[in-house]
Amino acid sequence: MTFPIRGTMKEFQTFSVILALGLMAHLTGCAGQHMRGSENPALDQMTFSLRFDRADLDRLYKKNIEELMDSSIMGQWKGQAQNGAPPNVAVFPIRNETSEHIRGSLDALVSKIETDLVNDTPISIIAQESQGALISEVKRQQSSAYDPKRLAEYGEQLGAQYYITGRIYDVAERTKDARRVQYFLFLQVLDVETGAIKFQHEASLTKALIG
Amino acid sequence: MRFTRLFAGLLAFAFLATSFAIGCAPQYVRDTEKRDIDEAAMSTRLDRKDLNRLYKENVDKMMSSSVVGQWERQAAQGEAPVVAIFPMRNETSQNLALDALLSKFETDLVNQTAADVVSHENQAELIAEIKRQQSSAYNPRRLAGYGKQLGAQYFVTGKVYGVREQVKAEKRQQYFMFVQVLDVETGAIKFQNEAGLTKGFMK
Amino acid sequence: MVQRRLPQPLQHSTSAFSILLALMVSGFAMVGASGCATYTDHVREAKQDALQGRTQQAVERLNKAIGAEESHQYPEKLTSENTLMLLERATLLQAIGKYKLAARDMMIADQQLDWLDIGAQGKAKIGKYMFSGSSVKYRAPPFERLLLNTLNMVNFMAVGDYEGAQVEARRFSIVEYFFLNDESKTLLPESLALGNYLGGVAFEATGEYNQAARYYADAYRYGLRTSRFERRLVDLFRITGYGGKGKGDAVQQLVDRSRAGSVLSFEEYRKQYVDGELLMVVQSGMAPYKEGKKYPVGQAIAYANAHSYNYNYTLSAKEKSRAREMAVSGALKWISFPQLTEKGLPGQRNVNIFVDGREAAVFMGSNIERQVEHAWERISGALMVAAITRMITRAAAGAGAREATQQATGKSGLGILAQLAVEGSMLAADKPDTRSWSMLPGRIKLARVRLPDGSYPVKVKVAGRTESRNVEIGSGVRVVNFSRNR
Repeated sequence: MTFPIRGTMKEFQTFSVILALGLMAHLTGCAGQHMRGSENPALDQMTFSLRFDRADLDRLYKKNIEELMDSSIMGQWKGQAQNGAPPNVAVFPIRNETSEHIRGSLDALVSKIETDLVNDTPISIIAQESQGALISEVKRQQSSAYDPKRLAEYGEQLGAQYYITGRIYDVAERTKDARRVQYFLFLQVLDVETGAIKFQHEASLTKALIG
Repeated sequence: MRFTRLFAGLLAFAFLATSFAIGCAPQYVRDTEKRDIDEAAMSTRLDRKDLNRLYKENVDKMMSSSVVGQWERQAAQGEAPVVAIFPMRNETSQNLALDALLSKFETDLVNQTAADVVSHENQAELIAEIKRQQSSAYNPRRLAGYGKQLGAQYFVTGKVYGVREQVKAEKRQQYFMFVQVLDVETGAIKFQNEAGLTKGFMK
Repeated sequence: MVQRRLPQPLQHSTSAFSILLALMVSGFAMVGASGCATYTDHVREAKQDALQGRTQQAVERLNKAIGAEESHQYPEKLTSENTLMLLERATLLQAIGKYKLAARDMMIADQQLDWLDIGAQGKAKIGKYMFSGSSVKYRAPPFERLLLNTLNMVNFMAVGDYEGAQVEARRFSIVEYFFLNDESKTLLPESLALGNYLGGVAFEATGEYNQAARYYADAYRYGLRTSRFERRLVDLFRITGYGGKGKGDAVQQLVDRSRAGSVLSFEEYRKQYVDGELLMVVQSGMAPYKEGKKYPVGQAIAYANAHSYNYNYTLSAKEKSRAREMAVSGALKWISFPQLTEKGLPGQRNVNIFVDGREAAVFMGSNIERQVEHAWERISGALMVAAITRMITRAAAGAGAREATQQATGKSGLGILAQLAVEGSMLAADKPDTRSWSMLPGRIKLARVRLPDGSYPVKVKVAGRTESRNVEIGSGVRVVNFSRNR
């Protein structure tokens, strides 16, 4: 049988190679594979959403913990500890005032802060786990629980002299082709007795989806 | 044959192009990956750049004002004043991130002045009273009474108002942010400043 | 005229070419004869189950359709159709009280769902979108986009998660702001009223009265008005000092009323309007959906003219004339186009709500049926114009293929085959997009009562079928949803 397009065997072969390459590219572009972060260190660096991932949490956490460790209130606490009276500090959830569901990430952030305070400072941290039902109540009450007076009452119940808490806000905008969320996280230390803010720091972060 | 070659080549090219075009879909980015991500204006509302600007203009003036100087002197004598801070009132028709602005004020007052700062964002009744400050219902004695309850000698308050105009599809929103420090006992205004900013949508 | 002759190799290929063309034509004929299933076909049985109250069965059908074995699973790959089916499933999961799963599905869809914007796209792009079926991302109309956050607020509040509900309220506001600024004329005010009302409930429940005032003011502005709601607003404006700027005259009148009278304390407001409140959300009926229909060319042109709301999308005199010529020559026979229908759907349902044996006053939250019809009315003319333009292009391509092949081969038969092959391949791929959030209710009605602490039986009757539940009332607001009986 004569090949229908005579003299084009070489062209056909070239065409087939190109087609095969294209098919491979298509298929490998579509096929996925499971992997660990230890196998692909870049896995944690990629951005998958407008919410917080580990890289964002680490960054927000670092910005705040460094300032807290260098603050005058920390100096005061260390002084109190040296005098044999380390202060009791309660840690309350960070209030979510954003348009993203980031409760899990915020709780993870609080846990990171707790960990460093427990390990690297002489203060006595009243951990969230031991607050159990109280924290659920705090979370449930949301706004009214974040009344500094109310939080101070909770703090008193726990025997705390200070409490650490915070708030996160966002400015979220969208156009036809893009979305942007600008986060503002404020971490605070408050005096239970007076309600005075003894430390406050702002950390910011932006995530976007661009077309 | 030329036609066939051309056709085959075009077909292969189109197939390849389609395959590799998959990578051109929208993508998520962080500000560390795209440094200018906060620069663009995306709406006529206040974004971080706007909030920072409005805030800075006001707080710089406040920090160099005579009332803050007075706080330093009081603190030096062992009598640091208690300053209560209230949320910015939103007198625009838009939903603005003014709570973030409140927190920015708190942060700088805590970190850069000698005052003891107390946040009363949930003292809603008191806020309502302060809102009435500019109406005939305002009563400085009542304000002083609240101040005593809180143990505060000064209130920091503010408001944001706006003027919105539109011609066909083009819009302009002018913002004015207004900050006050009040002496609780006398009701006197010890500091006041206004900063402005405009956002627009132009074709 | 110089007769161009094919080079020899191609001459020899004409017999192979003929066979290929014949195969293609018969292949497409078979496809055409068997008919391609549309989205509507894919969800038909699940819809029937849902309408008959066999909601769990409907969920199982949708699970199968998206390749999930259980409702807690979601598709590995989120294609456009999968995402929409996820939303359909979420609606049904909400109906059977699986609020957390429903919220999860809606949050996934929220990330993926794009919206239809006919503003600046151009006829070619719109035409492509309309006929490429599941190969193109589903673009929801604005009201669907807003209803996603609205119904998700119900999911969060039903389990007492007011933080989650407030996040959804903020998301609703962002999307609302975008559509209002885009001057989308497909939105009816009631699509904004319900979302704002529920946002108000979410913030009021946690004592954030300033935010609640803003949301409730918008709900009132967009038409959600009852005398009990007015009293609530007047007192809320009174305690917050809310000024109602930019919310219109109706809200301003309430603001003026709030200035008179003595100031309520926050505690008094809470006792009167928050503690012991029970909000019942009842979703009934089903929204109109789309079916593919063949419009003869003349009828299609008339349709486009009759539904012309967007001056960017009109047929020029030349295009109309071309379309008619092609209809006469047989090159363009009909336009396949989606048609909105209520076939098989229940009409308006009576809703009766009984709390502890006493009937509660019901008020309209949202008439989604009317919104669907209105939105389709506003855009279908533009879509029809895009469809006709696309079909003209297709028919021209077919005619061109015939000309070229006839010239090249000198055989008119081959030319016709080529035309049919080109047109056939395009027509076979062209099925009108019938995708929509079809499990949406036709109407959402609300009832709100205040009760002393205790446990109360709540019965909701929709078209003679009853759904009952026992509800615990204590401090704060309880929100319960009824959507199993449609």
